[in-house]
Amino acid sequence: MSESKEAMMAVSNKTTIDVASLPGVVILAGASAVTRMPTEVFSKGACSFLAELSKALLNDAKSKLWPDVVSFAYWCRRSNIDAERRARESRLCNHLGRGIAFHITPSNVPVNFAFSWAFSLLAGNSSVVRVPSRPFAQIDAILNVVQPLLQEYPEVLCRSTFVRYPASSGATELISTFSDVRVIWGGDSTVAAVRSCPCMPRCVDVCFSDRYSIAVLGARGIAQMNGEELSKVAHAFYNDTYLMDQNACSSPQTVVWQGDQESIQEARAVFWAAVRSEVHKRYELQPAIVMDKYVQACSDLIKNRVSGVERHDGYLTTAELSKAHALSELNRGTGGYFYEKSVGDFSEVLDAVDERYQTITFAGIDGEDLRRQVLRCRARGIDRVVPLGQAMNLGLLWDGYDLVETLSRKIARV
Amino acid sequence: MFDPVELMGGAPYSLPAEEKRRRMEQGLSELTQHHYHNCPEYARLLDGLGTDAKSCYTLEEFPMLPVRLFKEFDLKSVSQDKVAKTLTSSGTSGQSVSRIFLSKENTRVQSRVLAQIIASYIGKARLPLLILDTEQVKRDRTMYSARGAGIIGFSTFGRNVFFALDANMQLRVDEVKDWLRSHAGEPILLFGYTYMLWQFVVRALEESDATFGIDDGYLFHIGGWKKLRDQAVEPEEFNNRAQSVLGNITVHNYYGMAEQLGSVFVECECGHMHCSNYSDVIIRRFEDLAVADDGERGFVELLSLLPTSYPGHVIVTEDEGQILGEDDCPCGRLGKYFKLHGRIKGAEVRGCSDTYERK
Repeated sequence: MSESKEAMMAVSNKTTIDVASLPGVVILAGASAVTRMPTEVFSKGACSFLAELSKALLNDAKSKLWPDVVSFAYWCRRSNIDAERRARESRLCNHLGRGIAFHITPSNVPVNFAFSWAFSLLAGNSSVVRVPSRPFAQIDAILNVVQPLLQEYPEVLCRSTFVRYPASSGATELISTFSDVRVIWGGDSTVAAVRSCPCMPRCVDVCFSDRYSIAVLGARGIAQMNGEELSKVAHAFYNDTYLMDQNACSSPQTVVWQGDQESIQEARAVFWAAVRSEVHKRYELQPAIVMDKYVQACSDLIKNRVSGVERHDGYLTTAELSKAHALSELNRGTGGYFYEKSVGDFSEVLDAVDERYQTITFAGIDGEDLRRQVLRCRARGIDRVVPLGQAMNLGLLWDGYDLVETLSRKIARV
Repeated sequence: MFDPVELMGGAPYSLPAEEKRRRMEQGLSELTQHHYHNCPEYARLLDGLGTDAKSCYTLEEFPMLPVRLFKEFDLKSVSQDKVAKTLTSSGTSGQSVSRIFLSKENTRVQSRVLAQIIASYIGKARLPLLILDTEQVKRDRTMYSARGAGIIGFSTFGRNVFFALDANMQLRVDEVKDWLRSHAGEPILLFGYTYMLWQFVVRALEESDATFGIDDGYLFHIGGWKKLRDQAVEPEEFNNRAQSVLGNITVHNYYGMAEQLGSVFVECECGHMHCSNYSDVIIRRFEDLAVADDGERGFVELLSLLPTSYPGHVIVTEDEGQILGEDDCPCGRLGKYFKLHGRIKGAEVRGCSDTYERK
């Protein structure tokens, strides 16, 4: 029997796992050992804990400073968790957690770790959460509130531990040997790296791979908007894109304009003007980004990927995809570089949507219609259709999973 | 195709602003047409930017090719059999390498122009040349690197070439002194890369308390200032300390991209980088790449009349600079003069792209 198999046998008999003693691991908050014993989904303890956490974060002077921490706190509030629970009551009443969930969180989205942990808690699991090595004030702010609160909730404390360790410590391999679920954020290469670590036979991997997103804008709807509506739309678009330099999986890279040529022309003019004025107000432009966008524009032209480029100014570049390219072939822009495609009807590009497409954000058009089209065309991709401005709203329904459901198991009966 | 030396005529810093502009616009327009018709990638770029290769542009209107594209594409305006050598340069960004395709004709004109520029500082006679580097770098001549190319290119201005460093980058103090003694009474020409000559010659001499005591000579050096800035060494200190260990020499820093060999920018006695008749500089605003005012800092755009076998005649770099003046430098040279501030800082971007920390 190999050494690692022996090690696995040894841990599978234990009811708690000592995380603190793993080489290289530093515990930032939570328990030094976590239990393997699951709870039911939406357990009373977990729900009240999150409700308290929400209040505590919103009352904490440091946490309140960060919009991303506030949106996490807001998500945890009692009414939201109750709504999530009620929506699943009949379906998930016979579910228990899987055991220990190991979360590998993306190294540059500060609050993602907290969501991942909260989802897992609601699914009835214990969590070993690897937080980003890069220091973030948001992480410290959240953990400073979490730590004292955990002391009042022993049943949550024994299910939560937040760790950092150097990549070279081998801790990912060791934690994999006793995990019942691995929640892997961070894209294709992280998924591949973590999946190459052996795990228990029944371990479930929930992988968040590189995804790609688009916006669909109804030309007539946009063209008819008044100034106030337009600046709302521009504000929403900014939050979906510039706020994260377009690097989030759910940030639209291509703007698909739906309508007749005339209204598209009109809508483009007013929309991009509104975006520019929003960006000028809020975005801190770095010289390197201006150059990156110019280089990308030149490169796209040379490759015939785009047929024309409009450099509105240093803040915004739009590039019209060539006829040969239905969508942007997963090419990404940064800091205000958007591909555009004009179509009479959205269904014209649906063929190009493969499994890597995640979110459609929309404006000036009926979202329910879009969703029905995605279903009717049996698209391989697209897991979300949400209004412009909500691209970043992480929730229990993500990447096509209901995370409470995926992170738990159903006890069947005949 | 025009001959740049004929077009720009005379001494390399001789054309007053208006006349220079007229001739450059003529030459660069011709080059733009030439590359448009002979480099398909360049043609697609111009078509896409909506600036067809018209017969005459103003200097500020020429479409700029970002230097980074020489890393991404093989850009050439001659057929492969006309490529005499391929110059490669890595730049500081690391892995990817620029490839510059040089025809025999293009190389020849580069050497002629470089010779003219350097001769205007040191005279036409070939001087004993001390290279402040190791001979190792010019060994691999198949895919020759910019560093090796620079040394080989400069070697033509000297005679009795001697390399000051051994294969392990150790200064051969005694051998250099012997060589200097054999050239006593003659002006000496010295050449090196800024950081390397600082580290392995100036610092090495300072540490061993030695000096070369050259009576008369010229030091030409080229290369990035980043590492020196990290050590808080400014040009003035560099010059003073180099002079105190090397001797009574004039120090000329110069600037040239692998993408525009030949038409280099040399710092004069007043510490100003000068455009010659063959080149020009435009500063582009950081916010939108529009033309900056004199004195304003921005991206450095470089224009050169020399590139014929690749479309490198109008390029925009990722260096930061500012124009100091035109035709009125106290040194008497005509043309724009400017100051460089090094490479711009890379962008820090936010987001959740793939950033798994590797072992």
